[in-house]
Amino acid sequence: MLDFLFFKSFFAKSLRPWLRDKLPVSLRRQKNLRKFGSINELYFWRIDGGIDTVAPIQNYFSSLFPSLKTATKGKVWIFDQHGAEITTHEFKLPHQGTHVVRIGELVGCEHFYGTFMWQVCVPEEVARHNLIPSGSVYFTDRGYICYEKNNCQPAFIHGVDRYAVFQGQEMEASSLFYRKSTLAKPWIPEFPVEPNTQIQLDVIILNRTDSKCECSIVLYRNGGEKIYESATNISPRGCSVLSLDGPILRLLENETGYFMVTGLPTTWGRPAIMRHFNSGAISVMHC
Amino acid sequence: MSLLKGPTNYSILHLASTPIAIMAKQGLRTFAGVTGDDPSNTRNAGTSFVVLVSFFAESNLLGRIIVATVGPCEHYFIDIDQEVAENGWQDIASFCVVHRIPSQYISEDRIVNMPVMHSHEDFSMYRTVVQYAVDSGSMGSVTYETPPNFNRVGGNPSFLSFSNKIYIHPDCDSYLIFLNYSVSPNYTKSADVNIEFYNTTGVCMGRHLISVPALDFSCIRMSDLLPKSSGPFLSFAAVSAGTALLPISIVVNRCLGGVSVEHSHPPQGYLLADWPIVNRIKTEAVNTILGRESC
Repeated sequence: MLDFLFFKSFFAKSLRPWLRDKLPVSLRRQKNLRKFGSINELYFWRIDGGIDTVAPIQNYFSSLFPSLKTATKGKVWIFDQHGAEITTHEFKLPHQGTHVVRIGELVGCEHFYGTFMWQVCVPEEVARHNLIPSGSVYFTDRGYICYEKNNCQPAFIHGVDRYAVFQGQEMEASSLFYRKSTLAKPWIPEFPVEPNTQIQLDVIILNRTDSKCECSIVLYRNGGEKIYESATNISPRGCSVLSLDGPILRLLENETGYFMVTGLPTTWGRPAIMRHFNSGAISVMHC
Repeated sequence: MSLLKGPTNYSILHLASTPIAIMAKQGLRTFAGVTGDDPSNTRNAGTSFVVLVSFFAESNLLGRIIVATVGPCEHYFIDIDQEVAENGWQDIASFCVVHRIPSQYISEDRIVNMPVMHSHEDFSMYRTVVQYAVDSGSMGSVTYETPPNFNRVGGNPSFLSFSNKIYIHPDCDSYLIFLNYSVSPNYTKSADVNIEFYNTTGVCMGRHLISVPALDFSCIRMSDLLPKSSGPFLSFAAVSAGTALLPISIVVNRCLGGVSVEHSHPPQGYLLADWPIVNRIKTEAVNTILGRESC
């Protein structure tokens, strides 16, 4: 009932600020976010073309609570591009420490790309901190991922959205952050596509819901003329790479353009761009 | 290209803006990618913008240059170094801010004296693509905007940052930069930033203090502080009292010619909680790190 009043009712928009002040946090949050715990992100990995994916998993609790003992443990789950689990990996994480996961060391060469996530367990002293359970605090890890070319050239990107919810200090997810499907959204990245500055541009899209989604990319010349379109189906927990390679970029005929992605299944699940340059270097950017 | 003349309305300047470090001294070319499109494709249909760039040297405004206009369905890069050179500022300009101002508010080279009908909320997520390039042609980019009310005079923000990772490799120059900007006029507050560096086992590799002047940025080249054997991946915690900063990490691989650029999330991005709790956790963390003599 409160869910309906707060999120869906006719009056919800105008009443929401008032309700936010009046209701306890346990009642104004969606049901799976009323205790305390952590929410992680789903990330993209690839191990092709001389690229490995490295996750320097930081004990971020140490920076948020520098006066507490924050040594803890963690777990990584690696999925293929269709969202099927390939392997898992458990680790210990010292106070102020970082556990470096190289996907290429955990995944066989029959796989080229997919998704992965990790969970850093809420440390004991943090879980017992008087603000955390009483304030229904959920920690939302914003991990940093490194795509490393030829073991020497990094391209960093951070997480942009939320994926799985872990209650308390549990090491298995209890639910997804996006419990219900939302209206599919478009996104027009600010990024100007200059056809001659890179040899290939990969647009990476992840599906952080439990339903299949259909996304498309449309490339435009400045002014709005559509010159290329491609669509893809993405499985739950899966991902897709839509590449704008040399022949497609040449359709811009030396003019600058831009692209739009449609069908994004979650609020903040915007695409990422990976660029491949003549020199062999790569770069990556979230949109 | 023309110099903006007449009085400046700061609320118009920060409807959609992005502060940018000019990295020429580090051997990088600086570009700013702009568009007239709303990225969510739901607001401000048909709006076109005047692109204005404010240039600074040693915390002083050199000038505000009207660079171009950008409309819907238009995306392009501005060559910041070229704009600097055309104004003869190449030896002094270190910092700039790219503003997009709805065209209705500017007539020729002046801001029109009219009521401002928009707020920053109308242009939230209107970010600029900040791109750095090496001579070989490779480049890296990141997209961000000036946070709402950033360092508004009268506020007393604190700063805690730990997201970015440092990459140490013999072929790479790894930079950590901090931008100190404000949406208020006459901003003069410099920031003292304490940074603690940690290796993967959690051992502190050192502590460093850096001052960041107002309307400017400070840059740390990691190889000046940390041994090349200490990597490749290091983390850090940076704190400052009284000033908010924008941290950005840049890694340049001189052999392959690659550039990595990424910004960070503030600590509130790591906490789903009511603001008083978030603020208390952040403030206690800042005070704890500032209060200890060594890490």
